[in-house]
Amino acid sequence: MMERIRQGMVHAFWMVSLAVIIGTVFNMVRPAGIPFVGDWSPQAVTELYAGDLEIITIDDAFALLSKEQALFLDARDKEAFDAGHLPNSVNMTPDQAADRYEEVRTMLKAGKTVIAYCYDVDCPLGADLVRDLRDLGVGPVKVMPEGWTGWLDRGYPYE
Amino acid sequence: MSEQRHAVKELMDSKGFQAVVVIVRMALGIMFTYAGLTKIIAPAGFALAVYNYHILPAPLVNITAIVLPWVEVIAGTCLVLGLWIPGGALIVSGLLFVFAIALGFNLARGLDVACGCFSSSPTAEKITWWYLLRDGSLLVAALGVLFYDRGLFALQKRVISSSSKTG
Repeated sequence: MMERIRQGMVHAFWMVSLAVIIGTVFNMVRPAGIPFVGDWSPQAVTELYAGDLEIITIDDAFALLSKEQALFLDARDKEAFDAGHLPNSVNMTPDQAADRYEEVRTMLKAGKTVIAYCYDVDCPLGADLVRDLRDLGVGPVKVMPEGWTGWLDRGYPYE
Repeated sequence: MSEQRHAVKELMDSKGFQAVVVIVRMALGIMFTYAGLTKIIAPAGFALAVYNYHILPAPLVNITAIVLPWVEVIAGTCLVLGLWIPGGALIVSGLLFVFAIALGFNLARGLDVACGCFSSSPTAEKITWWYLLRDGSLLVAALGVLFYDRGLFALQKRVISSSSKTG
C-alpha cells in the first residue's frame, strides 16, 4: 500500500506540474482568460453582481425609510428572514419573483422606493431578484449590496 | 492469519473484483474529466464559485480556478485510459478530501453558498448534506482504485507488456 502511495505521489507531481503549465498557457492565449490575481474587493464583487442595476447605499436607504418612502425585499431564505429583517420588508427569494411580482408592482404604484437586499456584498440573491423582476417587466427596483450585515453594522433598527 | 490475508488477496485479485474496480475507475475518470471541462469552459464563473467558498485568500482564487480544472481533466483522463493510475487515483482522492473539508467547513459555519462541485454556476446547487455524502462515497471509491486497481484494461500495462514482449 505504501508503495502505491509513493508511486502515486511521483505521478501526481508530474500531473500537477503539467496542469500548471497547460492551465497557465491556455489562460494566457484564450480570449476568455482571467487575470492570474483577481480583484475580489467588496467594490469589485458589487460591480460583478449588480453592475447593471441601480444601487443604493445603506445610508440613503435608511434616509428613505425614515421618511416612510422605502419598502424592502429581503431575498434571503425564510429562516434568515424570520430571525431578523429590516423594517418595512417582505421576504421574497429570486425563485418567488415569477409568482409574486404583482406585489412589487403594487409597492411601486404606491410611490415607494423598492429596495432588494441579501446578507452582504458576497450574496448575489438581492441582485438576482431585481434582475428577475426586471425581466418580468417590474421596476425600477434598487439593490442595496451591503445588505443585512451592513445594516446591522450601522446600528440601524431591525425587526 | 496469513491464510485469511491470502484469501483476501485472492478476492482482490479475482477477475470479478477487478472488473468492478475498472468500472469504478472509468466512472471516476469520466466524472472528473467532465467536471474539469465544464469549469475550463467558464473560468470566470468557476473563479466566482471558488471565491464563494470563502476559504482561499483572495490572491489565490483565480490561479486555483485556472489550474484546478486542468488537474481534474488530466487525472480523470489518466484514470479512463489507465495511465499513471496511482497518480490519478491519488489526485482524485486528494481533491475529494479537500472538497469534503470545504463542504463540511461551510456547512458547519452555515454559509449559504452554492456548491460549485460539478458546475461553474455559483447558484446552481446549494450545499447540503447530500453533497457531503456523495463526496464521501466517491472518496471511498477513489481510494479503492488507488489501492486495488491491478491495471485491467489499462493502456500503460499494455504498453509495458507489449514493449517487454518485443524487447
